[in-house]
Amino acid sequence: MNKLVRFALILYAFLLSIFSVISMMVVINRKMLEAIYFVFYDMIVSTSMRWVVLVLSIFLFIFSMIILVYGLQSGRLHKTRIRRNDVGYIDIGVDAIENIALNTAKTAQCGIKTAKARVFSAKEGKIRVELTAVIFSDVEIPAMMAKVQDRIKKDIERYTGIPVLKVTIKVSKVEAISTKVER
Amino acid sequence: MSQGFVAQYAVEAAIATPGVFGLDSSSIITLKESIVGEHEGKGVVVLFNDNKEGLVTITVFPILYYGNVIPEVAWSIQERVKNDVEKYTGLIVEAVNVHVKGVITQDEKKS
Repeated sequence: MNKLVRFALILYAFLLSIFSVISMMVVINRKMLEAIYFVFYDMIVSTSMRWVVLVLSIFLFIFSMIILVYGLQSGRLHKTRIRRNDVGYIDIGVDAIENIALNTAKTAQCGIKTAKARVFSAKEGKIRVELTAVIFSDVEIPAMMAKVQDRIKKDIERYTGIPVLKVTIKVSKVEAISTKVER
Repeated sequence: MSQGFVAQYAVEAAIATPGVFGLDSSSIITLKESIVGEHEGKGVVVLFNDNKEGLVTITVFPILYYGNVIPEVAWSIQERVKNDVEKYTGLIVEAVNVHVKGVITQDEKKS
């Protein structure tokens, strides 16, 4: 799914760039417009080209639908309305949840140097947390990261009351421990 | 009764609540502050009900300390703001909405 979307996006960017170049040329030179018009006219008149154009445009339509659906589905959570009582409602901002995740990751003493947290929405009002971490080299990644996952899940649920569906940790970089000592 | 006047009471009440670090003002208000110089009631939005006199809705944007249970602090903010505003202004608070903007650790505060 992800690769397909990326391919569609690349295709779209490519087509858009071609289109913008053409439109620039049209503005500069008016004869270009006629030339383009004739190219399209020839395409539609000849029967074999007609089918090619039809199939291509159907493909483009499908790709654009995929991008549209993907864009609507994913994306950063804006706010979480957790509870509504007789006084009013309580929203917990995404920054707050991300901050909690970050603080937990750093204070867990699992060798995380720096981290970035992102929060996404999941089904049934649950949230999904994604942590991208830079760790020190003396860490057993599977054991430690499992610990961090567990702590993040528990802490977010305790502090915000929002159920966490899953915590994904991506180790992006392993930093040598000597660089810390040199400073 | 002006909005800023109600907002000031709301701000006082919200900041006095335990577990609250401060209020977060939106970028538009920060811009206004840099131009005009002052803005009454940073971090709260006060809306009067058009249809009925004396009804008011308040939205608070607090930043809390790390380690507190957010819903509990939010509830106490709601209670406190509602009580204080009703006591001092005589208006009826229709709703107090809390939108938690962020969480801050104790170390970050010192630096």
